Amino acid sequence: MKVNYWLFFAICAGAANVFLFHSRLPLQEDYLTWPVGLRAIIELIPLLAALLWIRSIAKWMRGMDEMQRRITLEAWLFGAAATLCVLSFWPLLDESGVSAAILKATKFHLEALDKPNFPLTLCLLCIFYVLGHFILNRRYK
Amino acid sequence: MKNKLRELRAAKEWSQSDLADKLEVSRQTVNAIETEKYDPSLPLAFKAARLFKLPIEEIFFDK
Repeated sequence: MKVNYWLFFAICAGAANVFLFHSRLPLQEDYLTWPVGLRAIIELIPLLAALLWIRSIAKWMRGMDEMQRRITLEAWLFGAAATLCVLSFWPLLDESGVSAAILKATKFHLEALDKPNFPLTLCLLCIFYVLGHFILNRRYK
Repeated sequence: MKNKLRELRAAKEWSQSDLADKLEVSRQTVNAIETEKYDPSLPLAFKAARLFKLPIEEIFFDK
């Protein structure tokens, strides 16, 4: 459960960071006048949570048997490669107005997601990991 | 790679779960090895050979 706890914390911290300090909320106006140390802590909390998440994943994988470890490693590789591809194409979608149209269509005011950022990257990684795990599990079933 | 794991297990009247416990792997791994969808690592193959008291090449062999 520690694995999911750190993932949950990293996504929440990243999302809170984006929406509170990098969106159009009034809080953002004087954010840049806050002490540098405080701003550094706020910005680095999601990164720290992500690093702890990666450490707990490594621990969790060491406890697996060899085939489960292989499936998990391949799924992570698939997830990382797919995330990299999507994030590489994201600016092109943004320039052509496709991503803006998609975000507008959701009606959830997700303007903060118009550029690749931490919560988006983590969410994409997890979605592609789950997809990769599903495909690989079927192969070895 | 082919193997005789299913026949050897059946001869001992073990279930896949029994064999998985003895080899310290999951039942899914035993099933994947038996159905030849997954080739075990050398340490796991040696462990199976020790368990059945047979040379490794009698359990795992090329086509």
